[in-house]
Amino acid sequence: MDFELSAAQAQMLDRLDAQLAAHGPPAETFDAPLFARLRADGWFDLARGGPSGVLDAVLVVERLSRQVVLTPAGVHALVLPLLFDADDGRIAAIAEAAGREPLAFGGEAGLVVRYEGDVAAAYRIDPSQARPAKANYIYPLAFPGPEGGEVAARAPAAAVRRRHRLAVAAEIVGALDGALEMVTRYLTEREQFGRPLGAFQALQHRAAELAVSVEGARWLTRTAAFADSDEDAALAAAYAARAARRMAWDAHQLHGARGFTLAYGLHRHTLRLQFLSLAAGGAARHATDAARERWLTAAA
Amino acid sequence: MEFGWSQEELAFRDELRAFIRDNLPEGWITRVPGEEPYSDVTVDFCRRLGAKGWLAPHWPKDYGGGGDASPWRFTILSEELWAHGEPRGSQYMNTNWIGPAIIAAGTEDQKRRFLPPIAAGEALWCQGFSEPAAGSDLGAMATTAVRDGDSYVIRGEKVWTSYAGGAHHCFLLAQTKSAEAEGVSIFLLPMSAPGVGVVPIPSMLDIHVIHHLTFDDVRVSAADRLGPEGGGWPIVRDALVNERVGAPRHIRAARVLDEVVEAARRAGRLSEAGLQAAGQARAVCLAARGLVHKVRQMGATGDPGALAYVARAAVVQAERAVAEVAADLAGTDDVLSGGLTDGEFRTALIAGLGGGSYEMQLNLTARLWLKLPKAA
Repeated sequence: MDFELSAAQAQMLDRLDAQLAAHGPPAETFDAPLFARLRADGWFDLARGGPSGVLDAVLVVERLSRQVVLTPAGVHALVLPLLFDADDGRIAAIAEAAGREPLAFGGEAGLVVRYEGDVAAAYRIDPSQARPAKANYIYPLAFPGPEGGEVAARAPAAAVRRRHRLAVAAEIVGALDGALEMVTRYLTEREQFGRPLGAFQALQHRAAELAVSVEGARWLTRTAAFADSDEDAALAAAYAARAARRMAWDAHQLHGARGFTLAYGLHRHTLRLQFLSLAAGGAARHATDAARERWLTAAA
Repeated sequence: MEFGWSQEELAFRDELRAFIRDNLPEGWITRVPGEEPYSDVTVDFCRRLGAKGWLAPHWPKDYGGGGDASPWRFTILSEELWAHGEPRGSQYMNTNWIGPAIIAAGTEDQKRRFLPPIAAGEALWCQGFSEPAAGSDLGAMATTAVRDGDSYVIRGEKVWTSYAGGAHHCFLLAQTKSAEAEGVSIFLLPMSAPGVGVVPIPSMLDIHVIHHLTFDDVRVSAADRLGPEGGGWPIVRDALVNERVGAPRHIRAARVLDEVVEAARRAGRLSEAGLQAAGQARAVCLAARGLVHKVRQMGATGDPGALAYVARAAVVQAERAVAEVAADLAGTDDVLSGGLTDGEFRTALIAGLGGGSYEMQLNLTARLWLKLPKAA
């Protein structure tokens, strides 16, 4: 049990930071060149090995999300290692079921992972057949093109859902950090009634409760990644999804109308948080699945 | 960063569980921590824990501890005991923060006199903090200790004090004033000293007795003052960090949740909504656990810092989340005294106030963790 980064983990994250700094500010939308570089350098292969591989992958996804690097890092770092022994070279998106739902990075994806009963299957698709979705949640969303029918890989659905949940929770933690930092700065700098907003106790308590949910989500997600168990992943996603929803509301409420402006940039975190709160089944399903796993599986 | 328990820690947890099974009456989980602080069961159980060196594994060996530098054995101990209704009664407080405060600030004489009896399970303590006009605003306390030669004379009163009925000593705060320093001093006061009055205060808690203490010119030796005269605050602040994260209420809450979900399932009233709420409440309990573990490690290697306030707020949220679900899943028979739902409701009320109110934790989180400006 050790809550501090190991020397290797600290070095790993320093290396990632250096690579991101060298690249410069990430693109406003899918950053294809950065994604290709990160991929070539093996950043999405961490979960393929090592006793803390899944945790390391979660730390990387957290960090990328914190920097608003818009890539399917979560799916690649956590889900694809279950389906492919080595990187298959395509960009992947993940769907709840066959149907009409818009997928994050669905316009770039050459591979779509779907849940089909007890298995999850990865289908090859043609990205040029995708239709963009009209939606404003920062992630590029699109309806993927028709599947060729060929299944590229299969894995047990429960395992894929577990990693999918860890990916979403890690992405949430990074965005929560980004949003809370903006909230704290705004409450410190913005003055009304002759004093900083942050000196009003009503607002202090709102911000403090946000801090509790951010730290709770962080440590629950990291410990769940280390355990890599179905129940822990569902619990982490359930908690993180509620924290995401709370932050989306409260970060804007605490910012006033300034938070709505594109120039200010809070929406880069909050819109992602709102989307993530309903991804991978959503907060309610995470909680119910965790409960079934704990209290009903043995009884059934 | 890794979150696995070592083989040794896992073996310790197993050994401890077997010990609890062999030494605690069946069904003790339905007790609420602190419900029977000085019953024979609690006193005997603590003596047996003490004999195994399990009351204070994290203290220096010189004073009856186990010399354990790692925080995890004591953490495992606290978790397992809270999961079984916390049979240490008030003595969890002794090993968790009163002893550590004496280790940090006590004289050699005080360490030799006070610590070994705590580690052996022979000492009962209470904490004299709150007063009629000084609750969250502890600095407003009116109890005074006036120096008179080699002793102090204490006048004043304390209220809502837990465990005072059977306590041998009180960890008492009082205002001192001298030419050198003015401020709060700590006294390790024998409750048998002439002039100490203890009266239970009738309360709606049922599971927990609170008391009114009076100090009518109580004489205490200067050798029983902990730390410098007027210099009690830093000692109290550090001690309260231990108090905030030392009681793993979230672990007991998670155990209560297991029990109420199972009872609801058997009674055929576990709805989809109930299941969802229970899953969410379990997540809140485990989030608190992660935070408390993080703070425990920081405390063992240095200053736990402001994250302790964040962790305590998370613990309070966990108690409340479970109390809510317990009430949602309950039938009317669960209002009966001695039931888990009834106990969880009352102990969750205590959680929001013990160790400083939830709102104080939020104030401190805002100021010291988020570094927001001081409230006007």
